[in-house]
Amino acid sequence: MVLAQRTAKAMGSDAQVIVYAHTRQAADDLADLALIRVELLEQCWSRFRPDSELSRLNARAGGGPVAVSEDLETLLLVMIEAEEWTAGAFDPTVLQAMRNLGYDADFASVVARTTMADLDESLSPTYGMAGVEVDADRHTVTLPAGVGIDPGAIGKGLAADIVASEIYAAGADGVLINLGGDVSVRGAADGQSWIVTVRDDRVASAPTVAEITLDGEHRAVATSSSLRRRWNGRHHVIDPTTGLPATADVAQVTVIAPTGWQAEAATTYALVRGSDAARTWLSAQGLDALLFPHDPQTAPQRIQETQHV
Amino acid sequence: MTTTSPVRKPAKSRAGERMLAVGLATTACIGLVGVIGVRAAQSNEPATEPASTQDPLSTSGYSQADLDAYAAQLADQAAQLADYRKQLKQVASQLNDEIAAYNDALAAGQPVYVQSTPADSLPADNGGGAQWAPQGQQPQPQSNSNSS
Repeated sequence: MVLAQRTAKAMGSDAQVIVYAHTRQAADDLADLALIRVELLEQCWSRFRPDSELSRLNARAGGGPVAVSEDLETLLLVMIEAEEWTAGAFDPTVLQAMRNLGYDADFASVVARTTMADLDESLSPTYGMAGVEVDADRHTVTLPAGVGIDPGAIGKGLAADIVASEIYAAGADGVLINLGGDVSVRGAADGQSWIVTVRDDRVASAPTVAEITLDGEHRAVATSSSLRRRWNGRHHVIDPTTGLPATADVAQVTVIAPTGWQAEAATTYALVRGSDAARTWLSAQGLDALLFPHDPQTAPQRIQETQHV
Repeated sequence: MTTTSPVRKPAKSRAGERMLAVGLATTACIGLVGVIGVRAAQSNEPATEPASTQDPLSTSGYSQADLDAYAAQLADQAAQLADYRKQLKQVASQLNDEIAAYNDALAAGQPVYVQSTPADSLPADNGGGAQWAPQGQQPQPQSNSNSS
C-alpha cells in the first residue's frame, strides 16, 4: 500500500490529508484531489470570503428565495438537522453575534487589531433555523431579514466527511481528512486502525491524556475548546440563548461520533450547555466523549467508558 | 489538541468496509447521506445553473448586474465541481484498471510488482504541523483543537 500525505491552510486552520492507495500515482492524485475539494467547499461555505456563495446568501437575507448550489444546500440541511439534534445548542444563526463580538474577519486579522469595540451586553439571542426555508425541489434558500449564517466548525466536520467519503469511493484504501481538529476517516491506514491522541489544552505543555481508535462506526472525532481562538477576553463559542460567549463549566471537549459534523455539533452542545447537561445528553446519544473542566487540576471526565476511549 | 496514528489491528476486507459504510449510511448518518445521495443524483440538473437563479432573485429587487454576477459565480462553482468529479472518476477508473491487471496477473501466476514507500523517503518536516513517526512506523499527523 502506498501512502500520500498533504498539508495546507484551509478553512482558517491547518488541513491535512492522508491517503492510502494501491499505486503511487493513485495515492498522489487522490490526495491532491482531496485538497482541491476542500478548497471548493471553502469557496462555497466561508463566511470570511465576501465572494463566497454563503456570504452572498447572507447578504440577501430578507430578499426572498435564493438559488443555491448542491454543496451549500447540503450544508444548510445538515445545520438544520444539527440544530434539531442538539435542541438548539448548535445554532448557525450566530453571524450577527460573532460580528458584534468583533469576530468579523479571519482570526489572524481579528487578533492583529489594536482596538476593538466594547462588547454589546444587550445583544439579542440568536434567531435559530426555524425561519430558514430550504426548498429541496427548487434548490433555493430563504433567510429571514437580519439572519446570517455562520457554519462555525461544523462546516469543517461536514467537509471532512464529504471529502473522505468521495476520495474513499474513488478507490482509496484508507483516507483521513483533518480540518483544524475535525477528523474524519474512511477505510484503514494500511490495514490498521487510525488512532487519535487527545491532548489537554488547559496545560501549556498540552500533554496527551487519551488515545482513541477510529474504525467501524466510530469514524470521526472532534475536539473543541473555548481556550483557543480568544481575543480581547472573548471566545468564539456562542450561547444561542444570550448571543454572547458561552460561560459553561466545560473548557474543552472531545467527542467520537459516526460523522464529523455530529462530533462537532456534540462538542458545541457540551461547551454551551455545560457538564451536567452534556453528561445526560451525550449518554443518551450513545456518544463517547471527554469533558475537560476549566480547572486544569481536575482530570477530564469520560462520558462513556468503551474500548474506543 | 489531537494527534493521529494507526495501530496494528487485523485488516478488514474491502468488501466489508464498503458494506459497513452502506450500513452506516442507512443508520446513524441517514440524514446526511440521504441528502448527499439525492443531490449527487441531481447534480446534473439545471437547478444550480444560472438560468434557474433568475426567477427567485428577480423578485427581490436586485439589479441585473447583481443577478448576473451571482449567476456567473454559481456557474463557475458548478464547472469547478464538475471538473473535480471528472478527475476523480478518471483516477478511479485508472485505479480499477490497474487493480484488475494486478489480479489477472496474480491469477495467471505471473510475477507482480508491489509498490511501497520506504520510510526514509517521507519528508522529515512538511511545514504544516504534521509529525512523522520513526522509520518503519506509520505517520502521526497532528492537529489542534478546532474552532470556527
